[in-house]
Amino acid sequence: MLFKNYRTRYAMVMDTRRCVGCQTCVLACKAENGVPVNGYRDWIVTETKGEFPHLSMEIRSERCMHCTNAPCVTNCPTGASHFAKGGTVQIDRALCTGCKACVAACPYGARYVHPDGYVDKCSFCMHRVTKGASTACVEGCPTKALAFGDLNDPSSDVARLLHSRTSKLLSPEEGTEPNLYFLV
Amino acid sequence: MKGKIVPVCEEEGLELLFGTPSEKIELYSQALADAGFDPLPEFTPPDEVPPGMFRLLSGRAPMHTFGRTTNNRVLGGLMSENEVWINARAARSLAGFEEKPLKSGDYVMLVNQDGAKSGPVKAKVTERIRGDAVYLVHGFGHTAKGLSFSRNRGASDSALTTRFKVDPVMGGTGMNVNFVRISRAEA
Ligand code: SF4
Ligand code: SF4
Repeated sequence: MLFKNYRTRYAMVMDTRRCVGCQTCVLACKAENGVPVNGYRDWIVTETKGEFPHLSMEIRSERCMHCTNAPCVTNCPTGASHFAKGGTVQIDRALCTGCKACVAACPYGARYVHPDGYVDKCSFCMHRVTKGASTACVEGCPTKALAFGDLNDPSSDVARLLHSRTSKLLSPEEGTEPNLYFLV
Repeated sequence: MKGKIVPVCEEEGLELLFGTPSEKIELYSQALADAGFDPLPEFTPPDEVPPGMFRLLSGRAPMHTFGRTTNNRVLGGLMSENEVWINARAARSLAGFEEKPLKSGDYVMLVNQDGAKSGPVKAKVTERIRGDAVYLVHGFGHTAKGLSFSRNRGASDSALTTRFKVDPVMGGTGMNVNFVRISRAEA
Protein backbone atom coordinates (compact mmCIF):
# COMPACT_ATOMS: atom_id res chain seq x y z
CA MET A 1 0.00 0.00 0.00
CA LEU A 2 1.38 3.38 -1.00
CA PHE A 3 -0.36 5.77 1.36
CA LYS A 4 0.15 4.88 4.98
CA ASN A 5 -0.30 8.39 6.35
CA TYR A 6 -3.91 7.85 7.41
CA ARG A 7 -5.50 6.23 10.43
CA THR A 8 -7.47 3.08 9.78
CA ARG A 9 -11.23 3.59 10.12
CA TYR A 10 -13.03 0.28 9.85
CA ALA A 11 -16.56 0.55 8.52
CA MET A 12 -19.26 -1.54 6.95
CA VAL A 13 -21.47 -0.71 4.00
CA MET A 14 -24.77 -2.57 3.66
CA ASP A 15 -26.67 -2.47 0.36
CA THR A 16 -30.42 -2.44 1.10
CA ARG A 17 -31.06 -2.91 -2.64
CA ARG A 18 -29.16 -6.18 -2.91
CA CYS A 19 -30.22 -7.77 0.38
CA VAL A 20 -32.94 -10.41 0.12
CA GLY A 21 -33.27 -10.97 3.88
CA CYS A 22 -32.02 -14.56 3.79
CA GLN A 23 -30.25 -14.20 7.18
CA THR A 24 -27.14 -16.05 6.03
CA CYS A 25 -25.20 -13.18 7.63
CA VAL A 26 -26.92 -13.92 10.94
CA LEU A 27 -26.09 -17.62 10.79
CA ALA A 28 -22.53 -17.02 9.58
CA CYS A 29 -21.98 -14.76 12.58
CA LYS A 30 -23.50 -17.21 15.04
CA ALA A 31 -21.31 -20.02 13.76
CA GLU A 32 -18.14 -17.92 13.59
CA ASN A 33 -18.50 -16.28 16.98
CA GLY A 34 -20.20 -19.05 18.96
CA VAL A 35 -23.20 -16.80 19.66
CA PRO A 36 -25.60 -18.54 22.08
CA VAL A 37 -29.06 -19.72 21.01
CA ASN A 38 -31.04 -16.68 22.11
CA GLY A 39 -28.40 -14.04 21.38
CA TYR A 40 -27.74 -12.22 18.12
CA ARG A 41 -24.82 -10.04 17.05
CA ASP A 42 -26.53 -9.13 13.76
CA TRP A 43 -30.14 -9.22 12.66
CA ILE A 44 -32.48 -8.31 9.80
CA VAL A 45 -34.97 -5.44 9.77
CA THR A 46 -37.66 -5.30 7.07
CA GLU A 47 -39.59 -2.05 6.62
CA THR A 48 -42.62 -1.72 4.36
CA LYS A 49 -44.06 1.62 3.25
CA GLY A 50 -47.36 2.29 1.52
CA GLU A 51 -50.64 0.47 1.09
CA PHE A 52 -51.19 -2.63 -1.02
CA PRO A 53 -50.48 -2.71 -3.93
CA HIS A 54 -48.43 0.50 -3.88
CA LEU A 55 -45.57 -0.61 -1.68
CA SER A 56 -41.88 -0.28 -1.20
CA MET A 57 -39.72 -2.32 1.09
CA GLU A 58 -36.31 -1.93 2.63
CA ILE A 59 -34.33 -4.82 4.11
CA ARG A 60 -31.37 -4.05 6.36
CA SER A 61 -28.76 -6.29 7.93
CA GLU A 62 -27.96 -4.49 11.19
CA ARG A 63 -25.29 -4.91 13.84
CA CYS A 64 -23.18 -2.77 16.19
CA MET A 65 -22.24 0.33 14.20
CA HIS A 66 -18.88 0.82 15.94
CA CYS A 67 -19.83 4.43 16.56
CA THR A 68 -17.10 7.07 16.50
CA ASN A 69 -18.91 8.79 19.38
CA ALA A 70 -20.10 5.66 21.18
CA PRO A 71 -22.45 6.16 24.15
CA CYS A 72 -21.85 2.56 25.21
CA VAL A 73 -18.19 3.42 25.80
CA THR A 74 -18.83 6.67 27.65
CA ASN A 75 -21.52 5.03 29.82
CA CYS A 76 -19.52 1.94 30.73
CA PRO A 77 -18.46 2.33 34.39
CA THR A 78 -15.70 -0.30 34.31
CA GLY A 79 -13.89 0.50 31.08
CA ALA A 80 -14.86 -2.88 29.62
CA SER A 81 -16.39 -1.20 26.55
CA HIS A 82 -13.57 0.61 24.81
CA PHE A 83 -12.26 1.89 21.48
CA ALA A 84 -9.77 -0.41 19.80
CA LYS A 85 -7.93 -1.02 16.55
CA GLY A 86 -9.31 0.78 13.52
CA GLY A 87 -11.75 2.79 15.63
CA THR A 88 -13.82 -0.30 16.47
CA VAL A 89 -15.67 -0.65 19.76
CA GLN A 90 -14.76 -3.78 21.71
CA ILE A 91 -15.67 -5.35 25.05
CA ASP A 92 -13.11 -6.66 27.53
CA ARG A 93 -15.00 -9.62 29.01
CA ALA A 94 -12.75 -9.79 32.06
CA LEU A 95 -13.70 -6.22 33.02
CA CYS A 96 -17.43 -6.51 32.18
CA THR A 97 -19.66 -6.91 35.25
CA GLY A 98 -22.85 -7.33 33.17
CA CYS A 99 -24.38 -4.14 34.61
CA LYS A 100 -26.10 -3.38 31.25
CA ALA A 101 -25.44 0.40 31.32
CA CYS A 102 -24.17 0.03 27.74
CA VAL A 103 -27.26 -1.93 26.69
CA ALA A 104 -29.40 1.00 27.85
CA ALA A 105 -27.09 3.58 26.25
CA CYS A 106 -26.94 2.02 22.77
CA PRO A 107 -29.67 3.51 20.54
CA TYR A 108 -29.46 0.59 18.11
CA GLY A 109 -30.13 -2.38 20.39
CA ALA A 110 -26.82 -3.88 19.34
CA ARG A 111 -25.92 -5.59 22.62
CA TYR A 112 -27.18 -8.64 24.48
CA VAL A 113 -26.22 -10.30 27.75
CA HIS A 114 -24.30 -13.53 27.23
CA PRO A 115 -25.38 -16.44 29.48
CA ASP A 116 -21.86 -16.34 30.97
CA GLY A 117 -22.60 -12.93 32.49
CA TYR A 118 -20.84 -10.46 30.22
CA VAL A 119 -22.31 -8.26 27.53
CA ASP A 120 -21.59 -9.23 23.93
CA LYS A 121 -22.01 -7.68 20.49
CA CYS A 122 -20.48 -7.54 17.00
CA SER A 123 -16.68 -7.23 17.05
CA PHE A 124 -16.33 -6.54 13.31
CA CYS A 125 -14.66 -10.00 13.40
CA MET A 126 -11.33 -8.45 14.46
CA HIS A 127 -9.91 -11.95 15.02
CA ARG A 128 -10.37 -12.54 11.25
CA VAL A 129 -9.60 -9.03 10.02
CA THR A 130 -6.18 -8.94 11.73
CA LYS A 131 -5.35 -12.12 9.78
CA GLY A 132 -6.28 -10.46 6.48
CA ALA A 133 -9.76 -12.01 6.13
CA SER A 134 -13.07 -10.18 6.02
CA THR A 135 -15.92 -10.56 8.49
CA ALA A 136 -17.97 -13.78 8.55
CA CYS A 137 -21.17 -11.99 7.49
CA VAL A 138 -19.48 -10.33 4.50
CA GLU A 139 -18.03 -13.66 3.35
CA GLY A 140 -21.32 -15.50 3.87
CA CYS A 141 -23.64 -13.09 2.06
CA PRO A 142 -24.78 -14.72 -1.20
CA THR A 143 -25.87 -11.42 -2.80
CA LYS A 144 -22.74 -9.42 -1.91
CA ALA A 145 -24.91 -6.95 -0.02
CA LEU A 146 -22.24 -6.41 2.63
CA ALA A 147 -18.81 -4.80 2.40
CA PHE A 148 -16.22 -4.23 5.08
CA GLY A 149 -12.99 -2.31 5.05
CA ASP A 150 -11.01 0.81 5.82
CA LEU A 151 -12.97 3.97 5.08
CA ASN A 152 -9.75 6.00 5.00
CA ASP A 153 -8.31 3.87 2.22
CA PRO A 154 -9.80 5.32 -1.00
CA SER A 155 -9.30 2.01 -2.83
CA SER A 156 -11.29 -0.05 -0.30
CA ASP A 157 -14.69 -1.52 -1.20
CA VAL A 158 -16.39 0.59 1.46
CA ALA A 159 -14.83 3.87 0.28
CA ARG A 160 -15.67 3.15 -3.35
CA LEU A 161 -19.27 2.21 -2.58
CA LEU A 162 -19.83 5.32 -0.49
CA HIS A 163 -18.27 7.41 -3.21
CA SER A 164 -20.50 6.08 -5.99
CA ARG A 165 -23.80 5.37 -4.23
CA THR A 166 -26.31 7.23 -2.07
CA SER A 167 -26.16 6.16 1.55
CA LYS A 168 -27.81 6.88 4.87
CA LEU A 169 -27.07 6.38 8.56
CA LEU A 170 -29.53 5.17 11.17
CA SER A 171 -30.61 7.76 13.75
CA PRO A 172 -27.85 10.27 12.90
CA GLU A 173 -29.61 12.73 15.26
CA GLU A 174 -28.32 10.65 18.18
CA GLY A 175 -24.88 12.05 17.40
CA THR A 176 -23.25 8.64 17.65
CA GLU A 177 -21.52 8.91 14.26
CA PRO A 178 -22.11 5.29 13.33
CA ASN A 179 -19.78 3.46 10.95
CA LEU A 180 -22.38 1.23 9.37
CA TYR A 181 -23.68 2.85 6.19
CA PHE A 182 -26.79 1.76 4.33
CA LEU A 183 -26.93 2.11 0.55
CA VAL A 184 -30.41 3.09 -0.57
CA MET B 1 -11.41 -35.17 -11.92
CA LYS B 2 -11.78 -34.68 -15.64
CA GLY B 3 -14.92 -34.97 -17.73
CA LYS B 4 -16.01 -34.00 -21.17
CA ILE B 5 -16.40 -30.24 -21.41
CA VAL B 6 -19.71 -29.21 -22.91
CA PRO B 7 -20.61 -25.61 -23.72
CA VAL B 8 -23.24 -24.24 -21.35
CA CYS B 9 -23.65 -20.72 -22.75
CA GLU B 10 -23.44 -18.81 -26.00
CA GLU B 11 -19.94 -17.52 -25.20
CA GLU B 12 -18.70 -21.10 -24.92
CA GLY B 13 -20.17 -22.02 -28.29
CA LEU B 14 -23.55 -23.34 -27.23
CA GLU B 15 -25.95 -23.35 -30.17
CA LEU B 16 -29.10 -21.42 -29.29
CA LEU B 17 -31.59 -23.96 -30.58
CA PHE B 18 -34.58 -25.46 -28.80
CA GLY B 19 -35.91 -29.01 -29.07
CA THR B 20 -39.05 -27.88 -30.90
CA PRO B 21 -39.96 -28.51 -34.55
CA SER B 22 -39.00 -24.92 -35.40
CA GLU B 23 -35.96 -25.04 -33.05
CA LYS B 24 -37.28 -21.79 -31.57
CA ILE B 25 -39.39 -20.92 -28.53
CA GLU B 26 -42.90 -21.74 -29.69
CA LEU B 27 -45.63 -19.54 -28.26
CA TYR B 28 -48.01 -21.23 -30.64
CA SER B 29 -47.35 -24.96 -30.45
CA GLN B 30 -48.52 -27.17 -33.29
CA ALA B 31 -47.58 -30.21 -31.20
CA LEU B 32 -50.06 -29.14 -28.49
CA ALA B 33 -52.74 -28.45 -31.09
CA ASP B 34 -52.19 -31.91 -32.61
CA ALA B 35 -52.56 -33.45 -29.15
CA GLY B 36 -55.91 -31.71 -28.73
CA PHE B 37 -54.82 -28.91 -26.36
CA ASP B 38 -54.85 -25.12 -26.68
CA PRO B 39 -51.93 -24.31 -28.99
CA LEU B 40 -51.62 -20.89 -27.30
CA PRO B 41 -51.69 -20.78 -23.48
CA GLU B 42 -55.16 -19.71 -22.45
CA PHE B 43 -55.88 -18.12 -19.10
CA THR B 44 -58.19 -20.15 -16.91
CA PRO B 45 -59.30 -18.05 -13.96
CA PRO B 46 -58.95 -19.66 -10.51
CA ASP B 47 -62.04 -20.57 -8.51
CA GLU B 48 -63.74 -17.61 -6.82
CA VAL B 49 -62.99 -17.17 -3.12
CA PRO B 50 -66.13 -18.15 -1.15
CA PRO B 51 -67.51 -15.33 1.02
CA GLY B 52 -65.87 -15.10 4.45
CA MET B 53 -62.91 -17.21 3.33
CA PHE B 54 -59.41 -16.61 1.98
CA ARG B 55 -57.39 -18.40 -0.65
CA LEU B 56 -54.58 -20.25 1.16
CA LEU B 57 -51.16 -19.58 -0.34
CA SER B 58 -47.96 -21.14 0.91
CA GLY B 59 -44.29 -20.67 0.28
CA ARG B 60 -40.81 -20.87 1.79
CA ALA B 61 -38.66 -18.89 4.12
CA PRO B 62 -34.98 -18.73 3.14
CA MET B 63 -33.69 -20.42 6.32
CA HIS B 64 -36.04 -23.40 6.20
CA THR B 65 -35.72 -26.22 3.69
CA PHE B 66 -39.07 -27.90 3.21
CA GLY B 67 -40.42 -29.27 6.49
CA ARG B 68 -37.15 -30.63 7.81
CA THR B 69 -35.17 -27.75 9.24
CA THR B 70 -37.73 -26.13 11.54
CA ASN B 71 -36.65 -28.54 14.28
CA ASN B 72 -33.00 -27.41 14.01
CA ARG B 73 -32.32 -25.21 17.04
CA VAL B 74 -30.15 -22.70 15.17
CA LEU B 75 -32.36 -22.35 12.08
CA GLY B 76 -35.46 -22.62 14.25
CA GLY B 77 -34.11 -19.70 16.25
CA LEU B 78 -34.29 -17.48 13.18
CA MET B 79 -37.91 -18.45 12.57
CA SER B 80 -39.43 -20.61 15.28
CA GLU B 81 -43.07 -20.49 14.18
CA ASN B 82 -44.88 -19.40 11.06
CA GLU B 83 -47.43 -16.62 10.87
CA VAL B 84 -50.56 -16.34 8.79
CA TRP B 85 -50.26 -13.19 6.66
CA ILE B 86 -53.47 -11.24 6.24
CA ASN B 87 -54.04 -7.95 4.47
CA ALA B 88 -54.47 -4.99 6.86
CA ARG B 89 -57.74 -3.79 5.31
CA ALA B 90 -59.16 -7.33 5.25
CA ALA B 91 -58.18 -7.77 8.91
CA ARG B 92 -60.16 -4.65 9.87
CA SER B 93 -63.39 -6.05 8.41
CA LEU B 94 -62.88 -9.67 9.40
CA ALA B 95 -66.10 -11.43 10.42
CA GLY B 96 -66.08 -12.51 14.07
CA PHE B 97 -63.48 -9.89 15.03
CA GLU B 98 -65.82 -6.86 15.19
CA GLU B 99 -65.40 -6.37 18.95
CA LYS B 100 -61.65 -6.76 19.02
CA PRO B 101 -59.98 -6.30 15.60
CA LEU B 102 -57.29 -8.78 14.66
CA LYS B 103 -53.76 -7.53 15.45
CA SER B 104 -50.35 -8.88 14.53
CA GLY B 105 -49.32 -11.43 17.15
CA ASP B 106 -52.88 -12.58 17.98
CA TYR B 107 -53.27 -16.34 17.71
CA VAL B 108 -55.90 -17.68 15.31
CA MET B 109 -57.13 -21.03 14.01
CA LEU B 110 -57.49 -21.84 10.32
CA VAL B 111 -60.23 -24.14 9.04
CA ASN B 112 -60.48 -25.05 5.36
CA GLN B 113 -63.45 -25.73 3.10
CA ASP B 114 -63.42 -29.42 4.07
CA GLY B 115 -63.24 -28.80 7.82
CA ALA B 116 -59.48 -29.49 8.12
CA LYS B 117 -58.08 -27.42 10.98
CA SER B 118 -54.63 -26.11 11.85
CA GLY B 119 -53.15 -23.79 14.44
CA PRO B 120 -53.01 -21.94 16.70
CA VAL B 121 -50.91 -19.67 14.52
CA LYS B 122 -49.88 -16.04 14.96
CA ALA B 123 -51.49 -13.47 12.68
CA LYS B 124 -49.29 -11.08 10.71
CA VAL B 125 -51.38 -8.10 9.65
CA THR B 126 -49.55 -6.62 6.67
CA GLU B 127 -49.82 -4.60 3.49
CA ARG B 128 -47.67 -7.18 1.72
CA ILE B 129 -50.55 -9.41 0.61
CA ARG B 130 -53.75 -8.92 -1.37
CA GLY B 131 -57.07 -8.85 0.45
CA ASP B 132 -58.57 -12.15 -0.68
CA ALA B 133 -55.66 -14.46 0.18
CA VAL B 134 -53.68 -15.48 3.26
CA TYR B 135 -50.15 -16.87 3.30
CA LEU B 136 -48.26 -19.42 5.40
CA VAL B 137 -44.60 -20.42 5.34
CA HIS B 138 -44.45 -24.17 4.80
CA GLY B 139 -42.85 -26.57 7.29
CA PHE B 140 -44.65 -25.70 10.54
CA GLY B 141 -47.57 -27.09 12.51
CA HIS B 142 -45.82 -30.45 12.99
CA THR B 143 -47.48 -33.02 15.21
CA ALA B 144 -44.72 -35.69 15.29
CA LYS B 145 -43.42 -36.30 18.83
CA GLY B 146 -39.85 -36.71 17.60
CA LEU B 147 -39.74 -33.10 16.45
CA SER B 148 -39.25 -31.94 19.99
CA PHE B 149 -38.58 -28.28 19.17
CA SER B 150 -40.86 -27.55 16.23
CA ARG B 151 -43.84 -29.68 17.27
CA ASN B 152 -47.06 -27.66 17.72
CA ARG B 153 -45.51 -24.42 16.50
CA GLY B 154 -47.63 -22.58 13.96
CA ALA B 155 -50.00 -23.94 11.34
CA SER B 156 -49.49 -26.61 8.69
CA ASP B 157 -50.33 -25.61 5.13
CA SER B 158 -50.12 -29.32 4.27
CA ALA B 159 -52.90 -30.18 6.71
CA LEU B 160 -55.06 -27.50 5.08
CA THR B 161 -54.28 -28.66 1.53
CA THR B 162 -57.01 -31.28 1.23
CA ARG B 163 -57.58 -30.48 -2.45
CA PHE B 164 -55.31 -29.97 -5.41
CA LYS B 165 -55.68 -29.42 -9.15
CA VAL B 166 -53.89 -31.16 -11.97
CA ASP B 167 -52.60 -29.29 -15.00
CA PRO B 168 -54.31 -31.05 -17.94
CA VAL B 169 -51.29 -30.61 -20.23
CA MET B 170 -48.18 -31.46 -18.23
CA GLY B 171 -49.69 -33.08 -15.15
CA GLY B 172 -48.23 -30.71 -12.57
CA THR B 173 -50.22 -30.16 -9.41
CA GLY B 174 -51.53 -26.83 -8.19
CA MET B 175 -51.90 -26.76 -4.43
CA ASN B 176 -52.90 -23.17 -3.72
CA VAL B 177 -56.53 -24.02 -4.44
CA ASN B 178 -57.81 -24.34 -0.88
CA PHE B 179 -59.79 -21.80 1.12
CA VAL B 180 -59.65 -21.09 4.83
CA ARG B 181 -61.73 -19.32 7.43
CA ILE B 182 -60.03 -17.49 10.30
CA SER B 183 -61.27 -17.66 13.87
CA ARG B 184 -59.72 -16.54 17.14
CA ALA B 185 -57.81 -19.28 18.97
CA GLU B 186 -59.29 -20.07 22.39
CA ALA B 187 -56.81 -18.90 25.03
S1 SF4 C 1 -24.01 0.62 17.87
FE1 SF4 C 1 -24.40 0.62 20.07
S2 SF4 C 1 -22.97 -0.90 20.91
FE2 SF4 C 1 -22.22 -0.34 18.85
S3 SF4 C 1 -20.76 1.32 19.20
FE3 SF4 C 1 -22.74 2.28 18.73
S4 SF4 C 1 -23.62 2.61 20.76
FE4 SF4 C 1 -21.97 1.14 21.06
S1 SF4 D 1 -26.65 -12.63 3.92
FE1 SF4 D 1 -26.72 -10.83 2.56
S2 SF4 D 1 -28.67 -11.04 1.41
FE2 SF4 D 1 -28.78 -12.46 3.17
S3 SF4 D 1 -29.79 -11.23 4.77
FE3 SF4 D 1 -27.59 -10.97 5.10
S4 SF4 D 1 -27.07 -9.12 3.97
FE4 SF4 D 1 -29.08 -9.76 3.23
